[in-house]
Amino acid sequence: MTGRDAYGGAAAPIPLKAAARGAARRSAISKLKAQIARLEKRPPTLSASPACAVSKDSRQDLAAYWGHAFGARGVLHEVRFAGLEEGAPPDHRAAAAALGFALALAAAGARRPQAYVFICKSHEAAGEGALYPPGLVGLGVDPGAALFVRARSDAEALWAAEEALRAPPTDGAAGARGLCVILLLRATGPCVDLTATRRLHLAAGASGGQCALVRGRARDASSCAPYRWRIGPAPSRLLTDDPRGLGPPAWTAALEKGGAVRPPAVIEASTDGFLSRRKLEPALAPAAAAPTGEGPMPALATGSV
Amino acid sequence: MAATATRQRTRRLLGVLLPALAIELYARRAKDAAALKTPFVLYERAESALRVAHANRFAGAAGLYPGQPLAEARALVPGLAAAPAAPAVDGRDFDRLAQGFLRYGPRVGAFGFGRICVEIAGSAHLFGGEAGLLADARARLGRLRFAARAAIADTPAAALAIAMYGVDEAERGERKKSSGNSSVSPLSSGPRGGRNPGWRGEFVAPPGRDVPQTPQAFAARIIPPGAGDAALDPLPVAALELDPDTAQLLRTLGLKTIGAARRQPRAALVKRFGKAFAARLDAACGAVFESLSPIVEPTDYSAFARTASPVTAIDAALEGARGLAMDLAAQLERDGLGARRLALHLFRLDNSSHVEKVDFGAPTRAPETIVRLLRLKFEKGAQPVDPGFGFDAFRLTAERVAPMAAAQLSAVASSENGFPLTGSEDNSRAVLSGLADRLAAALGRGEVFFYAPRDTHVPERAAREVPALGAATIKNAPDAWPSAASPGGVPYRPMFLFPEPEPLQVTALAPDGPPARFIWRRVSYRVVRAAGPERLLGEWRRGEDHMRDYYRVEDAGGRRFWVFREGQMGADDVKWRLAGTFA
Repeated sequence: MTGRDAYGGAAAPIPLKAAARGAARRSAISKLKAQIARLEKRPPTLSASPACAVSKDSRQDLAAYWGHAFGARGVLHEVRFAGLEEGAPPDHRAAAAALGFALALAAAGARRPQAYVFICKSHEAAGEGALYPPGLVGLGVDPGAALFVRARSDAEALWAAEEALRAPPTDGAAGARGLCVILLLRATGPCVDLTATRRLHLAAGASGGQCALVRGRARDASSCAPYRWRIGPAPSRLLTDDPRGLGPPAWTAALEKGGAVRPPAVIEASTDGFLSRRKLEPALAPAAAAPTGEGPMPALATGSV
Repeated sequence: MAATATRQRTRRLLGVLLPALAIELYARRAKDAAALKTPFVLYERAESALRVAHANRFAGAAGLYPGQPLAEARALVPGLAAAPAAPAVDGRDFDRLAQGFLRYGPRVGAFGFGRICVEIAGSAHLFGGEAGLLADARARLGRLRFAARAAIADTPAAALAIAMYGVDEAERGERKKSSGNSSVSPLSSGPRGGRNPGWRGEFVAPPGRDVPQTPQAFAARIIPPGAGDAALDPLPVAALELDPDTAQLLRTLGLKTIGAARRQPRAALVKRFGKAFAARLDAACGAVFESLSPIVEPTDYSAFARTASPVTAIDAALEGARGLAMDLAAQLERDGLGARRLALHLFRLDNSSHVEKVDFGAPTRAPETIVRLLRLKFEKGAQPVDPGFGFDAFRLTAERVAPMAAAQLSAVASSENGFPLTGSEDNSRAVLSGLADRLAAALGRGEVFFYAPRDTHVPERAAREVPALGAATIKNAPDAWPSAASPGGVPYRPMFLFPEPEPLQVTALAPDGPPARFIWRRVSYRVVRAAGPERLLGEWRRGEDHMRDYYRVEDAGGRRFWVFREGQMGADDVKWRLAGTFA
């Protein structure tokens, strides 16, 4: 493909693919929106900083990589904290990364802002940090429109999650769909078992909602979730203008169950706020989540449970 | 005064007096039956002296009275049994007892310990008229072994005065004449043997009155509408709840009965005895309106039902509630209202009651929704409901109501969960609100919430929880939140914030620079990238004088933290803390 680019400039030396041109256009629009916001002296609106939105191209890319596991709706996703190395117990410090990835999963399955329900356990919030609304804003969640639930026990949290998933679908322009439930359990007891997770999965399927069970340490790690992710943090991208500064969020994601068997990938938000998969040389992949010969074979997707 | 006159005519009040309640409660608590059969007093410490607080009938007959020093009482009655009074416990028990009277009407007022007034003008027919209502009260209090005097009259003051002073007179007159009298109810029960504590217990020996010879466990009198004045006239002035000085003065001047006082010229009465006395007189006669201060907020919308036989199963109770909810829904719909808070009173056989309240985020009147929430309350509530010997009456009241427009139910949307599906463009708010109702019913009101921004730069206070139940009307503007991320998509604020910042051991290359390495929870982190500082000061008006420099840092593994340095840089007391973790 040759010719002029979208802005009427000179012909690009390398022919732009349609995908790249689309990304450039979105990036330009996003920058313009941010500029208008600055001129009007108001903070960028949520739509201008969709830290978790997924462009069509990267959705295709991610779907091709993981076989539509990324952002699948009507299912239960299990998002586990990564350990420091393969086979090590989950690292509780990865909780924020796992939660961020769960929000990315939720946003990937939706084309417009959706209704979230966050469920966490009260004593874990006290000890390990509580959900911080201004931080959620950064990932595209409006804390005033999301419901937050504090449960006292695993059983209560599971009940609340199922109740939320069984709520009638919300009607919208994009058709009816269920709520998006983020169930954050840093340490789970024996009641989070096959039965409980199967109930969640079925409830999500019935309403077309999405449930992400974000969990760390577990006494019984078995679950019925068709997709299991292992998420750890990843070094953020270097910024050209400030190499010592922080880049946008990035995660090391490995799909352990369901979908295509792939090496871990790094998912990151680009500067214009869209999610994409970072092309990574194998040598640079962090050892944290790299599969080794000794590790368990990733299970095959069962699809529907 | 036409309005007053109208109200006056339609008012009917049940006054109930539990004269020996304190001692009966004591006997029940201490399992001390002798306290009801032999001279017994409860004492309290008043101004470093022990004084009699309550005396039973036998003690009263022996000349003991409340306020008497305990030593004097013991001298008068050798071997007097006595126990310390427990006003706090008694008060709680009395409150529970008073709640039980809500079965007779939605407005129940407590006029001090042991004195209850209920408005029954609109509810007496549910019990087969006023006589039927008194029979019910008598059976109920008899089962509980509480001595009581009751009267039904046109004003609270008259009902209580007649219950206190006017019942036994009528009884005795009745017995002397041994003929019927329309103003006396045929409800008085006979002496109850040893269990009968008599009724002079608390009001032992008002001067000028003798103790009835045959005290009865329950006596009652119905004053027909409009006949209140005639019934009040022969009563002693003390029945008006006067202060002791005024009462004594009236007696000294020969105005011993209410009738005698009423016949005096009014101007002179006010001049001589004060406005308060005249006001009491007017309240008793119904010339002015005396309101009850209800123990439970009265409401215009309530439904009541009794069961043929007591039920103990929660399912059966909920079935009863369903009928009430349909009744209530019809009342609310007529006025275009929906309930924001409902209270279900379950009345047990033993006159105690259980209240279950449910809140709704949005006005609701769908019986299915109401029953579903009540079921959640019963099944997942903090404490299980104790049916005791069974519930025999239910009352469902809408304590808070709000306008609710009639909505066209969507034809296709299934209302299986009792949701008001309106078929609007985006009903996610309604769905969340319905969900919040159910979650809050089971988990507690404070555990289900939205967040609202607060106009402050102190991170710990940047968000406040708004209980989801009242928040349906809050307009959430996303712009109200501070800018979430830099134009480059880098979040400014962490995902998790520690309620108490965690201490760190930090090595910094420069005193005003970000940390190069830090130890958190015994694990060392090497900082490879950092952004900051962002300097935030405490709010002076709260007396916070700290200065914090926040840095966003990333370690070699990509973990991102929000750390801050507190105190003047370079000073000895610089402290580093971890505030939160980023995604």
